[in-house]
Amino acid sequence: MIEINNLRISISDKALVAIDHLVVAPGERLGLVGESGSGKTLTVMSILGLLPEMMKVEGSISFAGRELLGMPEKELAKIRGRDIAMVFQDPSRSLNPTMKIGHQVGETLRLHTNMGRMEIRQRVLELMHSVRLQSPEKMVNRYPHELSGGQQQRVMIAMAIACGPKLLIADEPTTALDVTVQQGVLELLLQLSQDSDMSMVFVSHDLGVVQAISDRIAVMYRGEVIEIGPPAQIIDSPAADYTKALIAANPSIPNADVLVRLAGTRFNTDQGA
Amino acid sequence: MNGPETDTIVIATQEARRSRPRSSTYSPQLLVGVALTGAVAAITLLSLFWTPWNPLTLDVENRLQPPSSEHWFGTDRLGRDLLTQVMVGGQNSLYVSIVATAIGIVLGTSLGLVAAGAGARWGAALTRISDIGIALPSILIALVLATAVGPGNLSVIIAISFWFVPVTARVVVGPARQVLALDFIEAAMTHGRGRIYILFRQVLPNIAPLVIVQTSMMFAAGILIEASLSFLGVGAQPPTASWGRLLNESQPLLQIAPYYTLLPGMFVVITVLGFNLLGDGLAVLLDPQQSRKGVV
Amino acid sequence: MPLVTAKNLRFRYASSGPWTIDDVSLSIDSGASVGIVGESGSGKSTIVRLLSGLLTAQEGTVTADGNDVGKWSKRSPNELRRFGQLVFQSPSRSFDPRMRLRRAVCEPVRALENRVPRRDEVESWMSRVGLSPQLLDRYPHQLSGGQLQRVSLARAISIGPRVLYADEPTSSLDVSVQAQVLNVLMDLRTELGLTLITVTHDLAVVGRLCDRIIVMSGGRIVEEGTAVDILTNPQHDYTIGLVEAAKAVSLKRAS
Repeated sequence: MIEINNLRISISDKALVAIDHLVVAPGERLGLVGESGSGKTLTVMSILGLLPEMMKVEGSISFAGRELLGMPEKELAKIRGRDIAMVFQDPSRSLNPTMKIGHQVGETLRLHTNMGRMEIRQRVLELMHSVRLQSPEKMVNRYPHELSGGQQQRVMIAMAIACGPKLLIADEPTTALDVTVQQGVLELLLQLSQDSDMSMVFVSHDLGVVQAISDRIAVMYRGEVIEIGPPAQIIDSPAADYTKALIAANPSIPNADVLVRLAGTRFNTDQGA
Repeated sequence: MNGPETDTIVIATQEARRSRPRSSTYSPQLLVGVALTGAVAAITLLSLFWTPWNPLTLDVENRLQPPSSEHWFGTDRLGRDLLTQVMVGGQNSLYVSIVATAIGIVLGTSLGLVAAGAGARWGAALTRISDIGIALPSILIALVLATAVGPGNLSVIIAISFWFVPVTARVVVGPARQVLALDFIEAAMTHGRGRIYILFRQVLPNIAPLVIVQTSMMFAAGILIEASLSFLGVGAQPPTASWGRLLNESQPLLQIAPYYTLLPGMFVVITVLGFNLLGDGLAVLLDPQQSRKGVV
Repeated sequence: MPLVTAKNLRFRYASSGPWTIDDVSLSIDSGASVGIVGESGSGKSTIVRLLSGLLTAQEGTVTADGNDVGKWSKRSPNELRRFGQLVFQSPSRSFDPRMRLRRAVCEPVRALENRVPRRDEVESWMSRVGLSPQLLDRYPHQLSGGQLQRVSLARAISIGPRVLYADEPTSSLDVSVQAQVLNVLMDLRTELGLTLITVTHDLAVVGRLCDRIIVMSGGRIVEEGTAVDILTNPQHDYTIGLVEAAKAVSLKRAS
């Protein structure tokens, strides 16, 4: 679906990202994991041409056979929202506070399709139902601030999948949410991707979150992909030192007996994450 | 709840901006503003030591002469050299504006900060009071003062300050409240810092760019108001030179001696324009987004 | 030996309407490490501000070291501040962006002890949190989140408090950096004999850091007990849901 080759992103001669080869197959869910500064956000922003002007981007990002880097803005605009959609971290910042929910969910439909008002309204209700929002008929007329964080994020997801994109990019979509809500949103994303055979690139700094949702995990460090493979391989038999350190430093919730043994002990950060 | 800090894009872009100041930081407004205000200030300062002619020298026979090599700006209705009058007039305008702006900024900022830190009821009360101050036109106040106390610079300064103080307070209150809502203010409270310290040592520095720009803009307004008041005869009295008075004297003579109006008028325009542009330019230069010089 | 207790606390931000804290009573022993967990809206951030005296409850009392905190904060606020210090969630926002870190770290001592700390004192605080004193020459935006949060800890321990209230100390940090900050918290507790009161929504954090957990929801305490008990054998429905969800999104290793 999407193929990245020799991607080099730099600013003022300082190299930020250097990825030789990365592929996401149709219907595949790729988890992109790394800490702040690893370049994971830069990489996905470059797919949609959303990097600030002063950054230099070289290489090739091809989507369904078309080259995205260097594509004129007008054509990129047609792809954004329709073929490739993105969900960001903080839904309260991505939603327009002065526009009703229903209206915002319908935005992409109005932009990319010729659907009439009634059709759009119907589709909006369907979408809100598919992201498991309760009472869509009432919610259509609400404003963002009347919704909880989890509900807002579901609205963002509804907006993203409205035109049936082939690729969904989610950049830390659950980081700002409560843990019970996180679980719900992750399950939703998993199901949506499976139902419509939609590829997904899921970016996060949390291996635990990525483990739950990915077919393959790519670990990024200092702008490079240092390891890539199925979750079982990456987490149970990591090859790279950095990956090992990342796993060791993850404060997870172990089983009862492990917990008793570990309670009160320091975290192992020997390999210095 | 927030996500991870220190995003690469943010750091990289900030570093790139800082390593070479963008040409827009030193914007055209800033450059022109500095040039104009600098020129006016220089000419006015010069007038303290030297003028082409003695400002008091009358030459009634040669009155209302157009600009010539002897009198670069011509002569006024009593034969005084116009250029000298304009230069010395600048002293008056700048002096009045400096004092009024200083009072306005110092009192207004203090009032605004205190109102921001005072909680809802006091804050509302102070806002209402300042609304009254803003609503009353300074021209009216100046006329009242002139009748009561007599015309002159003092009345003008008081009248202008009466308006400057509440306007500044109003401008400062909103941003000050915004800063007060930030975490590091709460942190300062837990360290034992008192209200006044927090307002003046932590909030004020973080709204400094705003206050600086406000100063420049208010200075421009001060010049204009002083000129208007002198025009109406409420400001500096003859023989003290003042731009406003020159404009008043020249008004009926517009057809005979247009330079008499145009040249002093031009000075007023240049000065006001200069300070306004300076304010604009400073706003860009001190923009905290670009240079981390504050929060607001 | 209880050090900080709360009795029948009730608090709300507005003058009417629902209570943010609704009849909460708790007791924290000296030297203990207690975690207060709950989701957004549970009241956990509010409770820590009530316990530390930043906010005053409309009903009920908070006692610290035998003193009524409400009266303490009015009569000798400086003593109250010296007793307990806070660490906030977002390190970048808890520092004045215009103040160099060296100055920021000295603020508590300057304000509460009316003196400028000596160089060796400042260095000792920094070494306790594992940072080089040279970092103090920088501004907040020049440090990473993890480093800044550790500076925040150095600042908090500078006046030798007996209690450290931490409000979501690692929630704004990358998972990979959280462990470092948590280690520092644990070290400070053992080395300085601090009582730690940590508020967090992250159960993985409390598992290691805390002896006891208090679970809050809707302004009330729904369950409390030892950390091991709560995490391995939760009783209340809400706690069960919380633990299940936390496990679902946390790392699962074969080993």
